[in-house]
Amino acid sequence: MVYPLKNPKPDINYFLDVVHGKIEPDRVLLGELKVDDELLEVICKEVLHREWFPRQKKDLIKRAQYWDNVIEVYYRLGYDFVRVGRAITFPTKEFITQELAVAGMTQRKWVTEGDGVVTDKESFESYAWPKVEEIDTWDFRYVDEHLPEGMGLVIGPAKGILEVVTEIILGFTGMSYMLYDDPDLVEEVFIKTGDLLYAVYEKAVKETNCVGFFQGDDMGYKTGLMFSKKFLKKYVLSWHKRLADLAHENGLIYIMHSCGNLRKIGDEILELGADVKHSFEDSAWSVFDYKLEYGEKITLMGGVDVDKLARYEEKALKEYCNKVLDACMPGGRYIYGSGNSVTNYVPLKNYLTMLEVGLNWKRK
Amino acid sequence: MTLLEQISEALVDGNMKKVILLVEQGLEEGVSALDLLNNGLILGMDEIGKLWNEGEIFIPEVLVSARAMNAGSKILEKVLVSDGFEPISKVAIGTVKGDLHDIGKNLVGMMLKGKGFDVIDLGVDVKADQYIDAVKNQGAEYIVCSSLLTTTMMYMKDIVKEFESQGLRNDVVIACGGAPVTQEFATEVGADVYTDDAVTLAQTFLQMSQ
Repeated sequence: MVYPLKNPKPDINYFLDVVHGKIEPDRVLLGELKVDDELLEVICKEVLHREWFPRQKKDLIKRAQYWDNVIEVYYRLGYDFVRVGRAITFPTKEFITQELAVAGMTQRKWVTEGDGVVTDKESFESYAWPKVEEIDTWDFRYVDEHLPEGMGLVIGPAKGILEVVTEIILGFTGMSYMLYDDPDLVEEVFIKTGDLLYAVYEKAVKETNCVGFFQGDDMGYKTGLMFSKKFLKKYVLSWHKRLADLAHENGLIYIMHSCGNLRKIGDEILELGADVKHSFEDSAWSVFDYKLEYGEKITLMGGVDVDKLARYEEKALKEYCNKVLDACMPGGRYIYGSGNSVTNYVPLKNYLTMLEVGLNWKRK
Repeated sequence: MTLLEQISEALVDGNMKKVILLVEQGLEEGVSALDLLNNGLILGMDEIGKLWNEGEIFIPEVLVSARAMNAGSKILEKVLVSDGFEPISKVAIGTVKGDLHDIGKNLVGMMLKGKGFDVIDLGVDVKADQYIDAVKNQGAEYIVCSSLLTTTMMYMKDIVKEFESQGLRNDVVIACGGAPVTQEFATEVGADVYTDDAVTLAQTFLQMSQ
């Protein structure tokens, strides 16, 4: 078994040079938005033979043990960075269903797609908005101080501004109605949310040696944008530009994760200053097409379609992963990984197969 | 501009209050409920479907127009029932078991209503027996299974099998859709219809009904 790697040699500076297009890499570099905890646990136990400690907030010793495991997983699988998230929590409604696919999980939690927690000016005022002083950067600082030599810290403290507003605060349908009924309140919600997210990044930059921001914000679906370009530019992309500017002012990179078919704002993603575009689905906007259209202008991360990663048999998966690498590695500016994230329903065997293909890939 | 054109325009603009006022005005002036529905509301929703398909409008605009459509339809409902109105056909829609995503499913429902179908919304986390019940007891001739996750879309196979095991497979048209669903997958599970988007699905059902 190739994993765990016995002698990993992470090199975050090399990684950054590849992102900036200074080097066409001689090895396949890896990147993920996240690997779900259920899978991290399996890797810890079955690959690293370590005791697993679930993520938790209050007990700092256990919290540290969780992160020690996460760092070790990424280190031993060959990554150059660890992404750390969740520094701010927006109170929300949650719903629960039976989990169908993941061993050991009986329930899956969902956020609302209908109405959110803010429905009018009164509920906007009374909503328990997180306070800047409550921003918890302990995880960032801990990981920063405990990374093996050569690894870098990348942060992504919360969902993106659009996701926070549509999934938590207003709800998707609620916001759609409010855009018609009370557009000023929609604007207020975006400003309040954006200010808070910006404050987290400012704090993290001061307190850590992070090398980049890795911010998600889904804006598309299978065949197009969920919102008009005008809306996205005003309420969403402007905030990502501010975050990208903050990153660049501090010598960091900005990795932008957004799902769906974003062809209509492909140029806007470049204009806001993203260094890396992440999230590709073959049925929406594949990494193959994106490489052809934007491969010389921005670095691509991911591309292995999650559906295929979850369902393909070993032989088909190897062929497909090699196809991704053959298409994306030439010319550089490519970081290999799943199209979205390594979800808890991806079989461990498939995840390791994907990584192994990357490890063995050679230029033709 | 005629009253019916004004209704369509107000619906396209998402102006629910105006739609309500105009529909009420139409009934008071003796315009038939069926005319108000077909040549006012449905015509407006059809236009919304076209604009959405062409990328001229987006999901929020569709949702706001659908809100106006629902408000207008509600006023007409009782009159239509007493007039013995028959919809084109009945469609049962739902997001399959284990999955709570409902926007895609709702958009499909709106586009179907916009084509004149009677839509039975089974909601989210829908099990096979709920679809069976909609066909057996509520007269649904089409069912739509929606899913946003690779894990939950697998349940669509169970739904098709359940219809087969109950001897109802030939009584219903089964459509599958959602972000991870492809034509290849739909064929694999034995579904009859797959389309990339809600507008095309409604058009496909309409063609199949004619």
